[in-house]
Amino acid sequence: MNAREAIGDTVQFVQGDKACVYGALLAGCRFFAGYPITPATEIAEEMSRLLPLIGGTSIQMEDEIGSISAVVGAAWTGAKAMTATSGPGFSLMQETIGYAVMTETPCVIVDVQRGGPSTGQPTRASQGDVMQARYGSHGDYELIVLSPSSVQEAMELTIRAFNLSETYRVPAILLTEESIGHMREKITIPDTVPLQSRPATEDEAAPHVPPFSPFGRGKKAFVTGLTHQDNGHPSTDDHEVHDRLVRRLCAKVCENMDDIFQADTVRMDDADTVIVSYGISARPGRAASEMAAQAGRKVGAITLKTLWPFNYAYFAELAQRVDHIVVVEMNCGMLYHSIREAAAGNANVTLVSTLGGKVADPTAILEVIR
Amino acid sequence: MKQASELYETYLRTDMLPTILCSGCGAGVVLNATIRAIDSLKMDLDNMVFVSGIGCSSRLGAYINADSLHTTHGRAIAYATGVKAANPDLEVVVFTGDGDCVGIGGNHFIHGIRRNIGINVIAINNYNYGMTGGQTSPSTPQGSVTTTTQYGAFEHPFDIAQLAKTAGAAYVARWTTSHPLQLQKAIRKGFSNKGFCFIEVLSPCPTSYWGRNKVRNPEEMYQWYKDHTIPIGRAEEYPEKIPIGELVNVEKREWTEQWASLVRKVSP
Amino acid sequence: MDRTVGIARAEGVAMMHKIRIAGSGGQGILIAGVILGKAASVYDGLWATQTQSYGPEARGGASKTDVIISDTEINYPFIGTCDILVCLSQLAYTKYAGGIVPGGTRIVDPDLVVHHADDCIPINASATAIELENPLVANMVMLGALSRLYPVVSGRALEEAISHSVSRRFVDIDIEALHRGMALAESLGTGEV
Ligand SMILES: Cc1ncc(C[n+]2csc(CCOP(=O)(O)OP(=O)(O)O)c2C)c(N)n1
Ligand code: SF4
Repeated sequence: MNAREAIGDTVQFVQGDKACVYGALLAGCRFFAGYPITPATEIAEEMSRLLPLIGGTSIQMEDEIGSISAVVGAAWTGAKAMTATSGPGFSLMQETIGYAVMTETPCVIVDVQRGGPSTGQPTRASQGDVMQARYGSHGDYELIVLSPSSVQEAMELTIRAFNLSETYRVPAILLTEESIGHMREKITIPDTVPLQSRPATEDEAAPHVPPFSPFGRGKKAFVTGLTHQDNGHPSTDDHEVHDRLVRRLCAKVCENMDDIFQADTVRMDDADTVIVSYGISARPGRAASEMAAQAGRKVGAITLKTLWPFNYAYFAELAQRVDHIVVVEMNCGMLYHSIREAAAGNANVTLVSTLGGKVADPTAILEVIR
Repeated sequence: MKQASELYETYLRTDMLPTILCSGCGAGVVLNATIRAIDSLKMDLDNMVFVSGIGCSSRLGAYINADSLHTTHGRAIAYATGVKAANPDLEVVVFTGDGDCVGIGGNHFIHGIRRNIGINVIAINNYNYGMTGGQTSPSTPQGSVTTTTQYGAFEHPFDIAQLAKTAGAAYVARWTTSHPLQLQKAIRKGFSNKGFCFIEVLSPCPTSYWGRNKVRNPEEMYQWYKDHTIPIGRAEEYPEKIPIGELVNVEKREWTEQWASLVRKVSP
Repeated sequence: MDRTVGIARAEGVAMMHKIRIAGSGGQGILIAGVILGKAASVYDGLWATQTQSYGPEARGGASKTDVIISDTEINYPFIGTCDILVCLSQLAYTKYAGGIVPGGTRIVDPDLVVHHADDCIPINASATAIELENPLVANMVMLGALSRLYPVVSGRALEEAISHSVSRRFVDIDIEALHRGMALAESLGTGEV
């Protein structure tokens, strides 16, 4: 049975977590390792149901460190692999996420965010991991973080996370929230999706990455998290080798912003004010824009689908065009700081911050605009 | 027996040499025994993956001319589980140290065993954290001086092979670097067992451990491992000695075999 | 009194309905919400969102689900005050009865919600389920009644959604319960349905 057949009906009414699994399988994911945690557990459950039907592998590990480690191991056999977790587990994964960056291992990590710090609010949504997703591991690095604002997008952006992860051979994180993970909406499942195969496998050249040699093909690959030359051999004392490696790892992501960055916009043509949000916060953001339009105001809305790498140029240009940028986030202000930095004083930047699982109310956003 | 130089050419990644190991380090003996076991079993290096964590012992994987995944501290068994589960045809070997295996990685160790994932774990127990300069480890003998037990270690150490046995490993053996032939034979037998295979090797770390514990020359160290161990069959007579030999060798359904039969059962 | 709620379908004006179903654990509250949302979105071609209470809120026996049904894509998927409230326990009624828009509709099972306001529409869902010799289908009786009192989803769509959501051996009894609920609503004689 192929993945599409296993998924079933074309139109379904499902939770975001399930949509994420559908996206992964359509994108070619054949290995999942995870550890139960609210509100991401449904992903592990659905993977354990579907993967054996299509000849894939699903395993419950002893913890989240084991899960991400197994995913990286699987990826080196050539498999497309994924894990899913929430804040506490995501924290545990950080060392290995850095390892995946350093070893240029493609893999997808889903973080269904809940309220933190610590055990916090297991069953409530939050966007408190935005910084952790970007900066959680040690050292200088860049990776790709996508944020879906609907159940349909949870599927679509999981597919995109896999494809980008393969293209740039970097971990891609699907950063979603309890509210999308647990909400049910209608989704339409495509019959086929664009599939990115792993670049530079064996000897063929690729623009961004050195050759990838899946285990078992006689290539005698040496993979290490130590600073290494392009052939993988460690070289831990030469500052030039480290400098070159780290800058290349960052550049392959940042210099491909045009390919990686995506945002949806509404009512932007002559907007003087714009609501910028992502994930579940984009829903009240768009609702507020619509309500403002009904009241004759020119309020656009931008829904970011790519959070990291952060698109400074995009926001610098936006700040030239509008007077006021309202950032809506379920945290004390995370992307807000980067947006304000990019705006460089050319537009007012205001934060609408909610915590505790509360998604901003559209009317509360309108208050700020008034 | 083949000449060392002949074996090295076939099995070692010569461009990675010399190794980082100190002179007199027991890890070299383990590398040698492993290569000889692979050679005598005529295993295909192209089908083998060496996975390791962080530590001196964990560097061994780098020197074998096969695919190797040098990972994070303590997690090698988890990475190896991913490799094996995703491609059961691969022969997966983990090199680990006492700290890597049962300190930071203890949880992955017991759960790898519980799952009976078909990997071969060779743990080099040198009684301390060698790479970081000689701190106490979960297997440091009581009374030993290490840099973090300056007045002598008092915690009760793990008997790692016993731990593996208790957790249910399909194959468990313990030897020392003073028993290279027996070690090589054990590795051969372990590799031939389809389940989780665990081999503990008591191994000297002259640089970080023995120097502080007043055993200073190689002959003394060699003799220490001879004197302080006893074949497992006679262990009861010598309760103060460390039993060596084969502790377990049983057939047990392996994880990837079970997964494959599950897939066959459920797939339409 | 005409208790059927008019469904606004004026040109250009988006139709949007916020429905809350609340009761206690084991009554099938959540599955009722899922079936309602699925019927509207998958089988009636509308848009729907379904959210539910999790965690501590869902412990201690309380259960609640919110469903929004619309003819356009739904931006904000959460319900402050609902247009229609279905209650299957006194506790749920006490908690949610106030959270309803002026002129909104409240449907209660009078055997389970003994104390309720006069304008509540009584539907004897649990008693009907007992008649059907399956107390677990009270939720479907309520859905049937809801679909007649508040015709935002079609009966056909509900039947489709049921047959694609519950295990095969419950499909027939659930659909029968649905029909009984529709009949109950009609028998209220509340105008056109
Ligand atoms: C997460 C983490 N913690 C600590 C370290 C530092 N560290 C490197 S090697 C090592 C100990 C290795 O000891 P062992 O596994 O016994 O191997 P040996 O060096 O003795 O062979 C430690 C603590 C690390 N690399 N990563
Ligand atoms: S420090 Fe000890 S374990 Fe490490 S290489 Fe030297 S002798 Fe071997």
